[in-house]
Amino acid sequence: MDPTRLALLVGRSMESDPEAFGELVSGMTPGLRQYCKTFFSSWHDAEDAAQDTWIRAWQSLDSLRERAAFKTWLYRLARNICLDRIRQRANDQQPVDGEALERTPVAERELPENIAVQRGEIADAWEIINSLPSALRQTFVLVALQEMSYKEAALVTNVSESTVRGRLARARNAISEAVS
Amino acid sequence: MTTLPCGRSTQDVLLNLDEPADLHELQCRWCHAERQRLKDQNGFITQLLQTSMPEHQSEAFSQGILGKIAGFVPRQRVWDVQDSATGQPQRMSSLDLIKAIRAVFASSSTAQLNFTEFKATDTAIPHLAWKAQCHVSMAEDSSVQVIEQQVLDYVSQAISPLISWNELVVDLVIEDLHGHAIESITLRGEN
Repeated sequence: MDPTRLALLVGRSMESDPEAFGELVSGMTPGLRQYCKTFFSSWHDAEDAAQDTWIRAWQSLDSLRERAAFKTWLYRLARNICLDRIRQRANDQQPVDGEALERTPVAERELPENIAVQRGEIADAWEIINSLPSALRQTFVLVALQEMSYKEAALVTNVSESTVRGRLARARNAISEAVS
Repeated sequence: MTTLPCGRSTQDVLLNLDEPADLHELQCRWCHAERQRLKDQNGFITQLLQTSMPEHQSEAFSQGILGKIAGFVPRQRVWDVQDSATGQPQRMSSLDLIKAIRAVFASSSTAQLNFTEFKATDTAIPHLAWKAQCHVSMAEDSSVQVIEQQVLDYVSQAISPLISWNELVVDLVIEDLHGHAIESITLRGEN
């Protein structure tokens, strides 16, 4: 979405205009869903988290201080929602350590509906991404797929820019080794 | 981790893959080749991932979200105003006034209204003193002098058919393409 249009739609959404908000949802959900997928093994879970994120975004728009930073604000919201969901699930079974969570790869077992849509190289590509620790996976998706700057990715993942740089290099190295 | 014949490692190249090559890399054929290999590989994987998302029912998804947020209480305030046509007191939401302002801005070829807030500044009932905050991007061939006069006129034109007013203050914020503020000006009008 071009920045001029984004600035307009975010402004109108802050004025409580649902039509503008709907256009934001349509335009930004594919990327948001992709980011949420870095936390879950199934696209279904990612879609649920993206939906919660948009609803929370509508309710919290008043707290957005800088409209130009809407995308990082939205992705931070998504990250918190995804982590809450994972913690909630884990707490139902056992206590969870937040740092350990960041190091966790997605479970190898995929739901049947996901297996059905993943074929050949595509399946291999996602398998490689899923095998990365969560923190590396998030960083790779934000920078390589969502085309965020290191600064923006750092804001979303709540770490320094140098950490983003290191994580991205490690992610790319792991991908390179898996592909070679 | 591969160590290249020049002594640098794949990790060294990876750490600066999004930056321009440094002097060593520019002169080193091993680093140059490694950078190219990693870029190609990264580009290939990125493209695969971008094109491999399961189908997303965009329209249905958006409608689902809009259906859910429709049930929430509107965030906009409702004001006691005086109807400019009848002189009768009535209640009007900020959103109605903002819609009227947006309708006037829609015809502008020099300014895009990115965001506006509208609120009363007096304690009287009905309110007669108002303040609008207008965040505007301007066309490249326009100027702040032109925009500032236009914005005051637009807001005045928009609200006058709806509400009576004595005093109107417009806080104008000029923004760049991304919505970053460049300049702020306060404009005043009296009726």
